[in-house]
Order: sequence, then C-alpha cells, then structure tokens
Amino acid sequence: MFRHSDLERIKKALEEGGGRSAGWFCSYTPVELIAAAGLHPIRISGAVTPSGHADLLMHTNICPFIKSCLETLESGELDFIDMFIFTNGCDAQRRLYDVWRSLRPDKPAHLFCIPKLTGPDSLRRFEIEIGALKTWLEEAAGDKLTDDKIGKYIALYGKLRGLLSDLQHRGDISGKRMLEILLEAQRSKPETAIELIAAEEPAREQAHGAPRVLVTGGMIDDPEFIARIEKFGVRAIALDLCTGLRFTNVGIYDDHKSPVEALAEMYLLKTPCPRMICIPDTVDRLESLVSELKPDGVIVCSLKFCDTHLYNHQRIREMLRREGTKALFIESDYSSGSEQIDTRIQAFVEMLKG
Amino acid sequence: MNLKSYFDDLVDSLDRKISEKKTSRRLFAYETGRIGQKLFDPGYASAWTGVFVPFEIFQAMDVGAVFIEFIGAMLAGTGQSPAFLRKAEELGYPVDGCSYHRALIGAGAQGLLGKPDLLIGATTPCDGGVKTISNIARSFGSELFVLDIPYPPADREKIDYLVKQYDAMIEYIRRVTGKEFDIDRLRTAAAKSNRAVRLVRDLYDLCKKTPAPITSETLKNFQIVFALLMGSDEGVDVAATFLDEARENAADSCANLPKERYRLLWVQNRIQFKNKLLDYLQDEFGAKIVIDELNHIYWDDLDEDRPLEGLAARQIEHPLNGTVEHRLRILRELAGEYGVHGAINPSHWGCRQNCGMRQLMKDDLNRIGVPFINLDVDCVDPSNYFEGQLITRLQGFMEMIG
Ligand code: SF4
Ligand code: SF4
Repeated sequence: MFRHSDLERIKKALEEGGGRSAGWFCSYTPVELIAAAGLHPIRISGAVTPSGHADLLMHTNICPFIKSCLETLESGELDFIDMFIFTNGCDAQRRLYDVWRSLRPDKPAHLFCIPKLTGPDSLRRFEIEIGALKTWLEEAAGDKLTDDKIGKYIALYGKLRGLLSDLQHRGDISGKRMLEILLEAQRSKPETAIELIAAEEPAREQAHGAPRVLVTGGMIDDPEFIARIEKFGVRAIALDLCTGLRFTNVGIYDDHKSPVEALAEMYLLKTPCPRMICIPDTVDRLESLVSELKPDGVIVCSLKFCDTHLYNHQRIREMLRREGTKALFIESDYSSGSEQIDTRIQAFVEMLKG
Repeated sequence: MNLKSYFDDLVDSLDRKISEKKTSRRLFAYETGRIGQKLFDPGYASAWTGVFVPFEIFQAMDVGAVFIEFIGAMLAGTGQSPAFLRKAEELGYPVDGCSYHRALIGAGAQGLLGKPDLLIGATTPCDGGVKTISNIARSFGSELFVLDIPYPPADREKIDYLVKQYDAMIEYIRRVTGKEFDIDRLRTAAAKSNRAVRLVRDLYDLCKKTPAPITSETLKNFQIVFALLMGSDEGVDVAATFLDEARENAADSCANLPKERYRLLWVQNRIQFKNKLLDYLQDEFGAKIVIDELNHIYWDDLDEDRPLEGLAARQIEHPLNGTVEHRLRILRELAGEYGVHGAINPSHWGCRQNCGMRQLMKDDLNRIGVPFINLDVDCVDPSNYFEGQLITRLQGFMEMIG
C-alpha cells in the first residue's frame, strides 16, 4: 500500500532525477524496458482501503487491491505518474485497464498481454507482446530503445534481484524490513535500489529460536501487514508473494539472445503466478519451497475475490497436510490487518510454539 | 442421482413428447441430452471443456464434449445446485467464485459425473473457468490440455498461434483416446456448422423485426448450448426447426404469442434456476427479450478448406474475450439492429470479467439512448435470490422506459 510518505519519497526522487515515470502493476512486466526508456518505473499500489466508490465503478466482488488502485488513480494522487502499463494478469486487472481508460483517456496506457502457457509458441507470442510494449515505450518516451540500452538494464536488474535474494538469505532481516526493501526496489530506479541494499545494516537483534514462517499469497504490499504477523514472535523467512519472490525470481539473462527474446524467456518462465497453467505451477513451487526451507508454519494470504489465488487454496491445504506443515489461511481486504486476523495469527503462532 | 440416468431419463421423456409434438425447444433439449449421453457412451470419448471451444473438432473426432458451465447450469435448472455449492464450500472453494464452476466442483466431488477422458480448458472468457478445469485435472490425476487464447483482433499471427494449439489438442485427443483425426471429417463438420449458422442468422434476422416471432424463453441459453451441436446433422436440424417455428409465427403475425410492447436485450447469461422475472416483464409490461448478447453470429462462414483457421478466428473474436471496446461495440450494434428499448444485465455474482465492466456497459448503452439495468443475481445459486426486490427494481426500470 502507498503511504503518504512513500508517495512523497517517489515524487522527490522524480524531481531530483528530472525524469518521467511509468506506473506498472504486475510482476510479469519487464521493468528493464521501462528503465531503458529513461523512465522511472513505479510499481502501483493502492493508497487507500477501498471506500465503496470503486464498487460503483466496477462491482463489490472485484479484488480490493484493484479497487484501491482504481480509487487512488481516480483521486488524482498518482497524477504525477506520466503513463501506466496494465496487464491481463487476471480478469480484475483487465477490467481495471478498461475502467481506468474510461476515466482518464488523457493518460497514456498500454495493456501488456501475457500468455498463460509457457511452451515455445507461447514464448514467441510473448516476444511479440514485449516488442509491442517496447514500441509503445519508445513512442511514449520519445527515445529509441537500443539493444545496448536494454541489455544494460537487464544486467542492472539482474544485479538488483541477486542482491535482494542474498539479503533474504542472510537470515538476519525481518520480514517487515524485507518487504520494505522489496517495495523500494519496485518503486525506484534500479541504481537507487542497489545503493539502498548496499547500505542495509545487519540487524542488531536477531530473533533466535522464533518459529520460522513462510508467507505465501498474492498482493501484499504493506509491510505493516507482515509486522502484524511478526509481532507475535515469529519470523517471516520468505515472502512468496507478487511483491516478493515473484518479483525477484526472474530467469537469468542469456546474452546470446536478443534482449527482447531474452526478456521473454526470463519473464514467462519465472517463478509462476497462479494465473499460469504450467508444470511446475505455483503450488508445485510452493511445495519445493516448503521442503527446501522447512518452515515451522505457512501463512497463506489471499485477497478476497481473487480467483487465481483462492482457487489454489484447496490444493495448498492438501499439499501442506501431506508435508506435515501447519498452515493458516487468511482472506484479507487489503487493509493492514484487523483484530480478527490478529487473533487468528496469535492462535496460530501459539500452536507453532507448541 | 447420477448424471447418466438423468440424461437417459431426459432423452426418453423428450423422445415421447417429440413424437406427440415436435417443438424447437423440445428438440433442442433432446439433442443436448443426447450429447450428455455421449459422455457415458463407450463409442465416444468424453471431454469436459471450457466454454467457447470449437466443438466441431470434437464432432469430427467422436468426442462427446460438454463445457463445464453447461453442467453448472443444468444442475441449477433441475434445482440441484445448492447442495453441490455447499459441497464445494466444504471442500474449501471460495464462496465468492462463479457458481457455474462451484456447482460442477461439488457435483464432481460427489461422484455424480464420472471421470472424463479429456479435460480441455481455455484461457477465455475468465480466470475461474481455466482454474476450475485445471483443478479437476489435478484431482482426477488426469492430463490437462489448455488453449491459450490471445485477445482480438484475430490477425494472421494470432490465428496461426491458435491453430498450432488446435493441432496439439487434436494430437492430445488422439493420444489419450485413440480417436483418429481426419481433415475431411472436419471439413464436413465445418460445412454443417456453416449450414446451421446460416439458418440461425435467418432466425435472428426474424427477431430483428417487430414483433419478434419468439417469446422471451424461446432462445434462452440458445447459442451457448447450441455450440455443442455445431458441426452435426442434429445441429442443422435443430436450427431449421427453430427457424421454421419462427417463420410460422411471423406468418401468423405472432398471433399466438404474448403481445410485444417493449423489446429488451439480455446481457451475458440467463438466470438458470426457475424464476418469475421474465413472466413478470411479459405479463405486466409486454416486455420481451428479443436478443441475448450471447446469441449473436459475429463470425464469417468457416472456410471449409481451412476450417481450423476459421475456428481460431471465431474463438479469438468472441465478444467476451479481450478488452471492453470489443464487447461494447457488439452490444451497441445489437441494441441498434434489434431496436431494443432497454437492456438487462443480471451481473452474475462471481463473474469478475462481466461485473468489472458493468458500469461501462451501462454508460455506453445509455449514451446511445438505451436504458440499462444491472441486477445483482447469482444465476446458478437460488439461495441468495430475492425475487421481490428484483421485481421492484425491474418495475422501476420499466416505468423509466415507458
Ligand atoms: S490479487 Fe488476485 S484478483 Fe487482485 S489483482 Fe492480484 S491476481 Fe488479480
Ligand atoms: S459467468 Fe463469468 S466467471 Fe462464470 S463461467 Fe461465465 S464468464 Fe466465467
């Protein structure tokens, strides 16, 4: 979620950098192209818990992240962002693109389409979509995107993602802090994010012996949500989220290929989101992650009305039962949490502590 | 009850009724019931599919195929959906998801449906459909095949992309069931599909006239279910029967039909369980559904030499695929061509793709002077259905039109 201070920081960075910016929504968006076009890439969050107004523009049963984004966009809070790249990530996102354009036809907007399959033909289809995004960005930014420029940013983002993974593996960082850094990395230019990570001090106090939980789910972009989990004395050791592993676990750059070809492969074959139909899919990957990390418990967080994630719950439940891993399932409303959720987390943590 | 005996009973009873009097709806239900029987007929391979996939291919390969929402609708129509929706909930399925899918999940888990040979999903029109099919495949331990449908417009590259997937699907069917593919059989199926479509076009053209020679019920769920018969002789027969009946009614100046004062467009799905809304609209206001959004031939005849390409273009250009412009344009055209006085969208609960654009549809049709009402209904789950409230809203809507 965007706090007022987040928006101020981004605006300040933009003023200092003197550049233009592009908002993006989904972890399948090749941010390398945005940065290579000289634009500041800003991952969009909502700034408000949906008030009900988006229910009128769309419907009650649309996920609260999308409704919050819509209300935030409509409020003018994000007017400082020059253009937006939407995706067909899910039905709600596809409709956000439609509704947003009807409200603000003056703002440049592009729909970036991602196949749901990952075979060779889908890769070629995805390359065409990446090519279309590249052309759109060139026109919007008024600058040619050369292979060299793109290659440079692929390398830079590769470095950034590597640093983010190392940081997560260092093991001395709270889940809350990790999410803060991850979000900064998705709201900053890559150069800035790399500097931020380099300056990250080791945590002074380490929570030795605290139960280790893996947090998995969809769109969590509020560090306070993770803080509310950790305040009960557990450590979030991995964030298998749209803003977490699904941002960092993008494939390795193959520089024998053209940058567009390489990006297609890196993104289409990355750690999948539940929208993808592939083997291994999200649940299979989660299973591997659980056997690799052996967490004491798993907290599965999805937003209400999110079909792609919620339709996996039954399988996840069965898989974790098989693995003998305790799990807590939370359906949330894109707020920082609630007393009711706190009570459930507390009970879960007590169970983990045995 | 298991589904096989349901289809057997349905076909038997309709067979008797048709021998007394052949009506289009009876024949339609009978032929659809026979498709249902094929799911259990050892002479056919059975498939559960996504909606809007090309059934001509299944026809040409002796695959008895139904789309999963058809089963959800049928369970609602026979009053059985609530029990299966509860079952899906017990299994951990989100209660806010589309109930077409949840009803199927519940029924599948109760063993009502048996196990199909083939599971063929498609990435349109919605996330829920493809997730449901892939979950079913996992739970059966079956192989899954999914068609990835790009958004319109259907240009050469996108058509080729989908045709290659059809080739792979044919190979999957062949491999799993041993059914061979013969392009000439598909060409024949394409020719029959074209014949049926021409008849359906004529039928729809008659409905553009005032009064339309149908009732609000005549073409309920028509084209979406008719797709199951595409490419077959039965499909041609059903289309011809509907057309003949409509012609007779037209020739008779619709004397046997209720009076038509207002003409309405129905958006997306009908309400599948028994309800009184359409009777109320007809009896109180003389308001008739003359066109459903999903009853619309938006594609050209299939090229019988290259049927897969035409099928691909048809699937890509489906009104529910892609961004809003595509669908709005079609809605505007339908509203104009059929001269409707208003449009009703049930806003089926759980259908994100439809609900997310309902205000856009309303604004767009209002702009061309067509009043539009969004209801809040779950088309498959009668347990949250409050008819009195809906009637009050429809009353206000009709008064506004009048
Ligand atoms: S949380 Fe779910 S419904 Fe919402 S945008 Fe993400 S994938 Fe779509
Ligand atoms: S009603 Fe909507 S969600 Fe349900 S199957 Fe149809 S398109 Fe999908």
